[in-house]
Parts: sequence; structure tokens; C-alpha cells
Amino acid sequence: MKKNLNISNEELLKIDYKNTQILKKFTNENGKIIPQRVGNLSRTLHTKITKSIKQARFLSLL
Amino acid sequence: MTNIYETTMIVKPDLANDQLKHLTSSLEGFFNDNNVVIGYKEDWGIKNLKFSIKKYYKGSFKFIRFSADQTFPKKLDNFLKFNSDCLRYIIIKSDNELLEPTPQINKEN
Repeated sequence: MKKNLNISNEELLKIDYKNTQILKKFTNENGKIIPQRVGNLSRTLHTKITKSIKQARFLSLL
Repeated sequence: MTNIYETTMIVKPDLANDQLKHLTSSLEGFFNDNNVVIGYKEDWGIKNLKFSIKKYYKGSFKFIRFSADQTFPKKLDNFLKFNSDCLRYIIIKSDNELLEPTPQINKEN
């Protein structure tokens, strides 16, 4: 099932490890990263988001 | 060639005032020695950590953004690595502008 998150692409391109509130939407209730086919994102955006989620986890923000 | 970098540090939450002053002054001294000007500073306050780091469950977050040449981040990495007050840190190349405020400043944890 595909997810619609109502976030514009311009906003997603600026995403960083500091935007924890937005990054939380790309994880499920166990804290796992949702797959690309479910999140319905392009490859560039998805790699960017996964990278920033992992950076936020390292700093224990997520 | 200069790039914009940013660091986020987790500092021990139970530091005394003079210890904290010593930490900030030594950091500023290190920046001055390498002729790097601190562009933007932010204090995110004390936050609950999602997991314990060195048996600490809370941490004080500090954020610095600066523009420097390519050799400086490695020196800063070496400086923070041997600092016992710093629990964890990250140094990355920033896409944001130098004086842009971060989204963490107006948010609760």
C-alpha cells in the first residue's frame, strides 16, 4: 500500500538530520525506515532521507 | 577553497559553570588558532537521549556552523575525539546558508 504524506518535493530536498519531525513520518512504529515502494519517493530523495535518518539515530535524536 | 561545515555535539549534562566556560573557551581558542571564524552558534538545551551514551540518559546539544577549507574538519575531529566532556559529535558538509536557523530551536525535544 502506498503512503501519501502531503510534503512537497522542495521541502524534501532541504531535509537534514535536524528535521526530526519530518523524518519520523518515514519510519514505522518500530522505528524502521519504510521502503521506497511504500513511501512512493524517487531514488535520490529516498537515499537522502535514509542517510539523514541514520545520522539522526547516531546523535540519538530519533 | 572554502566550504560550509556544521558540527553538532552532545556534551555531558552535569557540567559545572566553570567547566562549561572552559570547554567553550578552549573550542573558541582552537578555532582562532586555525584562523576560522564561527559563523553561527546555537544551543538546543538539555534533551532526553533515545539510548544511553556512556551511562548518560540526558545530553546538552551544541550546534556550530562555520566556513573553512578542506583540512580543518579533520583537525576538529581530532580535537573533539580526545575531549572527555564531549559524549558524541558529528561533522558534516552543510547545504544550508551560514546564518540560517535550524528547525531544532523552536521545538520541544
